[in-house]
Amino acid sequence: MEKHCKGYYDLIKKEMVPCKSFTNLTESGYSQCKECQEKSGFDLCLGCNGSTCQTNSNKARIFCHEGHHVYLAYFANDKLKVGTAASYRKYERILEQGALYSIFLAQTPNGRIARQIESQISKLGITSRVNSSYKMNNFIIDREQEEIDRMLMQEYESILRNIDERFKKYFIKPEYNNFINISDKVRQNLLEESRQLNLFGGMDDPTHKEYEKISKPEYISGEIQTTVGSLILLKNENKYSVVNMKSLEGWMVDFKKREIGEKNNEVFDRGER
Amino acid sequence: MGVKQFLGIKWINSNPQMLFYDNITHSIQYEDCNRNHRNKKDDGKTLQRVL
Repeated sequence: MEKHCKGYYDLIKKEMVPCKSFTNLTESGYSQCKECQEKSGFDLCLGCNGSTCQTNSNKARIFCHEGHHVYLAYFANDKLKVGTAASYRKYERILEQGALYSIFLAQTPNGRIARQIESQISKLGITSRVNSSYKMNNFIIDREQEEIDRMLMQEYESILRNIDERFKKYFIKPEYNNFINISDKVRQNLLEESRQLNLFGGMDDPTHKEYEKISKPEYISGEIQTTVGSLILLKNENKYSVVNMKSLEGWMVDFKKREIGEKNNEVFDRGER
Repeated sequence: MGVKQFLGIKWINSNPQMLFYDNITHSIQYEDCNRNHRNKKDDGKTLQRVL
């Protein structure tokens, strides 16, 4: 099978635009051609810290002049991440990141100030990047929701104490988000509830079930249990796998769908390279 | 569905969709990848902290 440019997301029309030349990228590590990278308008915005605007794209400038939010997201094993989102799609942004617990902590009139705040918070020691490998290896959140709430809130207060005075006016009463139906679905599938009384009078913690981590899928099949960001949790005859669907972007695939109850609900075949 | 180009998972209205591009009909097709349950944002909760 082949890989072609996946096109780009038009920030103004707010829709995916396929690549006009359908550039073959089979031998490339990229999933987008140079032309589509430029058309998206975002290629020079990656790594922006709000100090000097690098873009030459009007689309990116228009987008950046829209209202933004700064968020603090919780990932499994107590990893916190700071990030920014255009306000009109702030929930989609955290969902595509796979952030199941988060707070929006600041609201800004444009993306540039949001990036400056993000950069300041990152200097306080909170990462602005969590890669797919971390997300796959830390797929199960087994902390209680109240503990996560407390952690996010404590960090929010610490940030507020330490952030530059000039940014404080953009801070809002934290807007808390959780997508517990997704994290519950992960827990229902991947936590073993042994629940035995231990020597100290408490209950044993549930144990994690094994799951296969598929970072570069060639052929996958199974029933989709849930989706976290770009990762899908598949179940196939009591075996679980977490698949990084991002690595399939641009590839020609043979997708077969079967109704629930039939064997092998979903099949993805990228074929031989 | 046959051979299509996989464009990625996009979250649309808080629901994950798989996007496929059909290079023959030049159309984008959407497949729900969360059929078993719907995501529902918990809007009811805001932590109590007044600036």
